[in-house]
Amino acid sequence: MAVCISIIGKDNAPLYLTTADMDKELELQYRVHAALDVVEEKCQPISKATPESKELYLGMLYSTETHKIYGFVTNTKIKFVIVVDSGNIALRENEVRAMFRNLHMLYTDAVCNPFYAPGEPLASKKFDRAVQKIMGGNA
Amino acid sequence: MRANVSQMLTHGASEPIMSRPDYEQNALHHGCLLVLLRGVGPSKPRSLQKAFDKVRRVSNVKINDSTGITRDIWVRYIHDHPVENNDWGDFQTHRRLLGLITIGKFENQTELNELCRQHESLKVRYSGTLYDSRAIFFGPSSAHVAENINSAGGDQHFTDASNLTIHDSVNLNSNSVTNHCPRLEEEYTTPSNFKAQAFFYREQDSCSDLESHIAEFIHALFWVLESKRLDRSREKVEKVSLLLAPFEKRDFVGLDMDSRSNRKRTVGRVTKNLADLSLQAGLVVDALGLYHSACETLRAIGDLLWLSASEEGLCSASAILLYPHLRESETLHRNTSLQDGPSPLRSTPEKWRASDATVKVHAPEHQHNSHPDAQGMASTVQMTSASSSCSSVSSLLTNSSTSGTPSSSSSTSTISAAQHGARSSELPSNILKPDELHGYYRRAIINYSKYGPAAIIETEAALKAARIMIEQNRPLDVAMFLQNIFFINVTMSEPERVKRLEVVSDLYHQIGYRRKAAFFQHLAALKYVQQGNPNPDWSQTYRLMLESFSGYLLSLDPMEVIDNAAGWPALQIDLLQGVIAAARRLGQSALATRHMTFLLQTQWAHMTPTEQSELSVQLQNLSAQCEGSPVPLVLENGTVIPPANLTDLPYCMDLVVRDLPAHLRPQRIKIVKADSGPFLFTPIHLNSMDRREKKKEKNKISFLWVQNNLSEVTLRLRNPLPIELTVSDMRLLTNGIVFESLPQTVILQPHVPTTVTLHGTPIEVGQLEIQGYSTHALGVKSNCRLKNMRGRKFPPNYLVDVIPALPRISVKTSLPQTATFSQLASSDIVITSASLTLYNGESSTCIVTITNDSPLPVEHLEISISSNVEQEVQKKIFIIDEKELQSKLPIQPNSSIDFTVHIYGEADFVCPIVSQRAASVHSNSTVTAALQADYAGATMGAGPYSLQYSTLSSSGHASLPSRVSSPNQQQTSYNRRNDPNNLSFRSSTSGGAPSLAALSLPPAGTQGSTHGYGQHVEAQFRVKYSGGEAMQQGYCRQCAISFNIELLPSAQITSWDVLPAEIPSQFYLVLDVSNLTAQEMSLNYTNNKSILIEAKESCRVPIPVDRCSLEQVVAAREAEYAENMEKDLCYRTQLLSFSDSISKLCSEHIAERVKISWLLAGTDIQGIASLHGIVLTSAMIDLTTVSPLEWTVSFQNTPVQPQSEIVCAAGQSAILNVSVSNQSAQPLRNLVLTIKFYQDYLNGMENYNLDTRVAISGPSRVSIPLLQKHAQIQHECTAIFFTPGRFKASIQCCSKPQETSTQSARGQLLEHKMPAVQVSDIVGSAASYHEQQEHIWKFIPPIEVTVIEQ
Amino acid sequence: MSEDILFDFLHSEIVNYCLNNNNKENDFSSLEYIGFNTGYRLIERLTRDVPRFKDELETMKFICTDFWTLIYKKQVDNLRTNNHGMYVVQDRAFRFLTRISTGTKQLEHAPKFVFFTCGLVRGALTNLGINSTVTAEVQTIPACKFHIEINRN
Repeated sequence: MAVCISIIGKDNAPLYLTTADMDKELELQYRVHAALDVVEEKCQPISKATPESKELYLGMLYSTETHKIYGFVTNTKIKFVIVVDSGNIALRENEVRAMFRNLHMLYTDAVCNPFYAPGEPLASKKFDRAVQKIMGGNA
Repeated sequence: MRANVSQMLTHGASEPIMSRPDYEQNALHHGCLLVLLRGVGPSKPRSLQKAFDKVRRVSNVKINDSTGITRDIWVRYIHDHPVENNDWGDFQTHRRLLGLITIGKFENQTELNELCRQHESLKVRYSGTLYDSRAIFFGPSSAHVAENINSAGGDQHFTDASNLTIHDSVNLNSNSVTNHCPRLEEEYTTPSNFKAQAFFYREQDSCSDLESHIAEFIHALFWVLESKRLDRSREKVEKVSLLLAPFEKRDFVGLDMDSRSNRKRTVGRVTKNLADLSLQAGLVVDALGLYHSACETLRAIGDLLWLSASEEGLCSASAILLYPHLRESETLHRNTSLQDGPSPLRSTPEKWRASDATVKVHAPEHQHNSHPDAQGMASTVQMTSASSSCSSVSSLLTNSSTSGTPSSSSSTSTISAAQHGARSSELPSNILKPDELHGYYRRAIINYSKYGPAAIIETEAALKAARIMIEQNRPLDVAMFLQNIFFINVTMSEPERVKRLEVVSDLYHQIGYRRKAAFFQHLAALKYVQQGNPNPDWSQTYRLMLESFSGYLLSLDPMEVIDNAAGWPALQIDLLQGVIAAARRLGQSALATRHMTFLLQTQWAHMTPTEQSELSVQLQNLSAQCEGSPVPLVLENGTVIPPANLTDLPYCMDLVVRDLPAHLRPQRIKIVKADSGPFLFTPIHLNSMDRREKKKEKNKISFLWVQNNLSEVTLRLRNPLPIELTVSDMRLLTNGIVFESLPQTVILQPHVPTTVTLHGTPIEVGQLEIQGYSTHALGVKSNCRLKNMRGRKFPPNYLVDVIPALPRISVKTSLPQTATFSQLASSDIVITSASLTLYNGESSTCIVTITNDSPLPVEHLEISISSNVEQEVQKKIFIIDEKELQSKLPIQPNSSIDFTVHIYGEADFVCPIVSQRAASVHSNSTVTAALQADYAGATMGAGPYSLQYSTLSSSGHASLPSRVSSPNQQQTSYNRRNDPNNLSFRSSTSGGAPSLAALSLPPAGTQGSTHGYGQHVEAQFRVKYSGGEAMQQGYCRQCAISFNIELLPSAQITSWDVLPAEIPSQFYLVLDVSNLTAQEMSLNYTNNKSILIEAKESCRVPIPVDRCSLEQVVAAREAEYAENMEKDLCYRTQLLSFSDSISKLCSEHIAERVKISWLLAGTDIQGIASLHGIVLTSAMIDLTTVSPLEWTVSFQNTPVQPQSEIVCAAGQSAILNVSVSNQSAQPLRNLVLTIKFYQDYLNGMENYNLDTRVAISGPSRVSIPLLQKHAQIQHECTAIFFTPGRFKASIQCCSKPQETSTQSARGQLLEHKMPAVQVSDIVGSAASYHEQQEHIWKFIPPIEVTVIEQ
Repeated sequence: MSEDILFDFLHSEIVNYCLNNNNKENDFSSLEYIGFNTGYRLIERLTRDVPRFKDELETMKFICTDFWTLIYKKQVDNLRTNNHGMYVVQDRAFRFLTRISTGTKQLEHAPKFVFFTCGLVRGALTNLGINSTVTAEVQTIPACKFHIEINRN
C-alpha cells in the first residue's frame, strides 16, 4: 500500500524510515528529504488559520510521475511522511489519513516507552513490525 | 552559407517545433525587444568584456513617439537564439528576434573579413524577423598599426575605401573616434558584401560613444516595431488573416474562414497579437485593454490555446506594472554576483542552518520590502552562471560580465527610482490584482497542457508563473508550478532536461526550499553522467553535487558539519560518495582524497564498523594516487575546499605534556618569598591567588621547558579500525616560538590503547603553544588540533613557558658506583653514585669530577648535602672545601673540574643514650630499623658479656692486661702497693657497677646495631648549577650524587668506669675497649701507651684524666640555668637538668681530653675513636669533677699523706682528726661524715664488722646540717685496735637528699619569681644541685693503718 | 475515584523518594526532572487527537484545560499573561495541596508538592516547541500559582 514510511524528528533528522523494497530505499530517502520543505512551509504558524491548516494531516506534499508523497505533523513537530505509488489509483485519501493516524498511535506509544529516549532513532522491533503492517495496508 | 550551417550545427538540436525552452524568461520579457548580442571571431573575452557590458547596460530607452508620449522601451539581450523560436513569433511577438549586435576583434584585414562574414551569416539566419543589425569591431591597438598595414594588402585598402556604408558609418561616428591615431576604418575596410552598420574602435579605446550608438540602434528597432503596430491596429477587421501557432498550420486547411466563430477567432487572435506589439512598444495600458478584449473573444469561442496566450499576456502586462523592479534584478544580480560568489557553497553555515529551521521566518520581510531580497538576486546569478558555463564563448562572456561597474548599478538604480515613481501613480483599473495572477497562469498552463506541441510554451509559462509567485512570496504556489513542469512531457535533448532541472532547483533556492533545490541539483548531477549519455560531463556533476551540499546540511568544512550534527546521515554519506566518485572520474585524486577524508571524519559516527573499515581502505587507495594534506584546495570556479583532518583516526584518548627529567628541571636559584608579602604564609591571600590563576588559564602548564632541550608529550591513542593502522610522521603542532619537533611513527593494533611519545626541541625562548599533533594515516596528512577533538575535555591548547638554555653537567666520582638505590627523598635527581666502606673513625677522600657537556659555561655551582644522619654527624662525615670549589668556576663548555670530598667514619664509640638519640634522629627508617631488629639479639648477648667482664675485673688479674700492656715499668715501683687499695676501692664502688651495667645494657640493644655492627650512611650531594642568560633570570638545575657509605665498627667502648687516681687532681677513666674488626688492632690510648687487641677481643685500659674544675661546673650550671630561664622552662627542668648539664660537661671534658687512636695491624687502616657521648653516673661525676670538700686528716696528730704508712700499736688509742672545708661556690647542706674501719682481704672481700678488733670512741657518724662555703668543721675521734693487722679506714662525707616539701616550695617560688630573676636565685637554685641527689665524697686514698703487737 | 488516589500516593512517594535519597534537603531538581520527562512523553499522547496549535496562547490554553483536567481532574481557575511570554496559571485548589492542612508550618513543606508539576508543565511545553521556565508559588494552601516564563531565542 505504502512504498515508504518515515518519521522525521524536530531537527529534520530521520528517526525512522522503512521502505517496501530495499533497493529503492536511498532514492526514497532523497524524495522524503525533499518533501520536508513543503512540510515546513505548511507548519508555518503565519499560514492563515484556515481550518485545514490546523489539521495534523498535511495532505499531499508533492507528487511525481512515480510517487505521491503525503505529510503529517504532530503537535510536537514530529513529521511523518508516507510515500505511495502514483500508480495506485485505488488508494483513497482517507486511507492515507488512516495510515497516518495509526502511525501516530504507534509513535506515541513508542515515545511513552521509558526505554526510548526522545530524539533518538526508533529501533524498537515491535514498533517496526507494526509499521510494516501499516505499510502492507493491513493495520 | 556554409558558415550559416556551421552555426546551426554548433547550436545543434534542430527539431520541427521550438527546440529550446528559454528558461531565463520572466513575465516582463513579454514587453521587451529581443536582441541577439553575440561575440564573433576568435574573441578575446577580457578585451571585449567592456564592450559587452556597455551594450548590455543600454537595456531601457525612453522614446518620445509622434504623439509626444514617452515610450518606455526595454531591450532583452540574449546570446543565443534558435531560429525555430521565431516560428512562435505570431503567437507571442516577444519571441521574435528583432535586432542583432555582433562584437568582434580583428588584428588584420583577413580577420576583419571573417568577422563581417559571420555577421552577415547571422543576419541571413534570422532574416525572417530581423529589423536591423549593428557590428562593433575592435581593431589592433595603434602601437602595432604599422606592420598590420604592411600585412594587409595596401591596394585592397584603397579600392575598398570607397564603400559608402562605411563612409556613412565613418561620418556618423567620426566625431567620436580617437583623433590622435589614424582612423581604423581608413586602414581596414569591410568586404563589399557586408551591409551593416559597423563601429570601429581601438582595442584600448574607451568607446565612450558606444552607448549612444546602441541607443540609436534601439530607436531604429522601435520605429520599425511602432510602424508594424500601427499597421496592425489600422487593419480592417474583415481583411485580417488568421494568425496561427506553428503546429496549427494543417489544422485549419479547408476550414470556412468566414464562419462566425472563425472570424471571432481571427479577430481575437489579431487583438491579442496587437496587444503583444503594444506591450513591446511600451503601451502597457493599451495592451491590458486589448488583452482583456482578446480574452473575451477567444473564451467565447473556446480557442483555448490563444486564450491562455492572451491570459498570459494579461498577466505579463499586469506584472510589468506591478513588479517593475523585476527588470532591475537582471542587472543588479550581476553586481551582487561578485559578493555572492559563483556557487551557493560560499553561503555561510548560519545561512544554511537558518534555511533549514527559520527560512520562512524572514518570509514576511519579502512582502514588505519592494526590492527583491538578496537571496533572489543571488540565485538569479547562479542561474545565469549555471546556464552559461555549459555553452558558447559569448555566453561565457555574459556570465563573466560580473564586472558591473558602479556606474551601471547607479544607472539602474535611477531607473528603478523612476519605476517606483511610475508605480506609485495609480494603476489602471483593468489591471489584474496580484492574487488573480496565480489563477490566470494556472488556467493558462492547464490549457497549454492540452496541446502537446505547446509543451515548451507551457514550460516557460510555468517558469514565469513561478517567478511571479516568488515575487508574491507564495512558496507553495511556486512549488506547485515548478512541480507541474515535470509533468509536461516535452521532447528535448538531455542537456536541455538537465538545464531544466538546474533552473527549477535554482527557483526552489529562491523560495528557500533548500532541500528541493538540492534534490534537483543532485538529480541534474546524476543526469550529466547517467549511462547512455554519449558525453558524460563529470565536471558538471561534481559542481552540482557540491552545490547541493547546503541542501543536505553539509558544508565543506568538516568541523562545521560535526559541530551542528544535523541532517540526514544516509543521504549525506551517499552524496559524499557521489562527489568522491565524480572527483575520481575527473582524475582529481586530490579532491577525491579530500572528500573521502571528509566523509570519514564527519560521518564516522553514522557508519557501521564494516563501512568504516571499507571506507578507510578506499581512502588508502585514493591517497595512494594523491596523498591528502591539510591545505585548502581551490577549484577553478574559485570555490575553496577547506582541509579535512582525520582528527579521530587514531582516536586520541589523552595528551600529557611531560616535564623534563628531574635532574634537568629548571629551578629557581633562590626562593624569593618577597612576593608573598611580609608574612611567611598568608593562606587566604595565596589561595585566592591560586584560584584566580587557575581560572585564568587552566591550560597553562605549571612547569617549564628549556631552550634547546629535548622535551616530550605523551599521547594515548586508540585505533578504532579493525585493521592495523600505521601512523607515520607524527609531530607536535605548535604555535608561538620556534619548535623543532621530531617525527614519530607508530603502528596501532585494533582497539588497543597505545601510548606514544612525541619529542621536540624548543629553539627559542618564550611561550610555546601546543595545539595538537599532526599525523599521516591512511595516506592522509592531518592536523589534529585539540580544539577540534570532540567528546573529550581537552583545552584548546597547552601553553608552556620556555626559559633560556641552561648548562648541563655530568658527574663522576673516584669511588665505585653503588648497586643499591638511594632511600633518600628526591632520589630522582641522582645521576651518579659512590660507595665507600669505612671503619668507624677512619677517614678517606673522594674526588668528584664535574664535566660541562653543554655549550654554555657553568658559572654558578653550589653543593648541599642531605643525608640520613643528623646534621652535625653529617658535618663530621663529609667535608668539602667550598672555597676551593668556587675558585674553579666557571666551568667552560666541554671542560671539567675536580674537587675533593673528605669522608670521616664518624660514629659513637661509646654506648648509650646519646647515640640512642642519634639513632632516633636518623632519617633512614626501615632499613636501619630492620638492622636493629636483626642485631638486637646479638647485642643483647654482647651486653651481658661486657658487663660480666667488668664485674669480674674486680679480681686482681682483671687488671693484668693493662699492666702487661703498659710498657713502662717506672710505675710498677709503687704499683705493687697502690694496686690493692686501688682495687679495694674499686671493689667498694663495685656496688655501683650493676647500676652502670644497667645503664649501659638497655641502650646496647639499639646502639649496638648502629655502631657495633656497621652503619649505612646515605647522603646526597645536591649540585645546583647554572649559567648563561638563564642564570640572570634566576634559573638553575639540580642533580645529585648519591653517596653510600658503610661504617664498620672498629674499636668500641663497651663499658667504662671512673676511678680515683693517685692524685686528687686526676682520675682514672677505665674503658673496656673491644675490637670489633676482624684484624688485630693496636690501640693507642694515651700519648705513649698502646695495647694490642685481638679481633673480636676486648680489653680494659685505664686512662688518667685531669679532673674537671669547679669553675667549669659552676659556669656550666649557670649557663644552663640562664638558658632554661630563656626557655621559661627553668622551674620545670631545673630538677633534672643540672645534673644533666654537669654530666654533659663531664663527658665533653672527657671527650676532648681522651683520644684513642687505633690501627689495624698489617694494614694502614687507622682511625680515631672519640669518647663523645659518654654517659656518667652521678658517682662518676663526683669523681670526674674536683670534689667540693677539702680533707685534712691527721692520725695521731700527724697529717695523713697519700700512700703514707701509718703504724700504731694494738690496744693503744689513736686519735683520728678529720677536718672538712667547703671549697665549692655554695654552702652544702645535710652532710653526714662517717668513719669506718674495715679489713681488705684483697680478694674482693672486705670485712666491715670488726667489732672485736677495733673500737671507736666518739661518734663515727657526724651529721653536719650546713657547711657554709669556705667554712670548715673539725671532727675528732679515737680508735683502739685490739688485734694487730692491716686496717683501713674509709672516711667519707655524704649528702642526703632534701625533703621534697622545700623542693616544691622553691619550685613555686621560682615559678612565682619568673619574670625578674636575680642572681641569688641562680646561686640558690644552683646550690640546690648538691641537695638533689645523694653525693659521696671520699677521702682518697683511704687511710691504711698497720697495727702491730706491742 | 480509587485510581485517582493511586496517583496521589504515587506522587507523594516520588516526592519522599527524591527528597530522602539525596540527603540534602530542598533539592528538587530530580523531582522536577521526573516531572519534565513525564510531561515530555505525556504530551505526545495527549495532543494526538488535538488540532495543531496555531500559536503560543492556544498551546497555553490547552495546558490549562485538557492537560490540567486530565491530570488533576479539574481545570485551572485562572490563566493570565502579559503577552510578553509571561503566563500565570492559578489553581485555587491544587490537587497535591488539597490534602495538606493549612498553616504556616505546612506551608514550608508545600514546595515539595509543586515541583513535580513544574517539571510536568515545562516538559509538555518543551515538547510542543516552547522553551520555558516554570516556577510555582504557594501563598495559602491549597491555592497555587505557576509562573511560566517563555525563553525566546
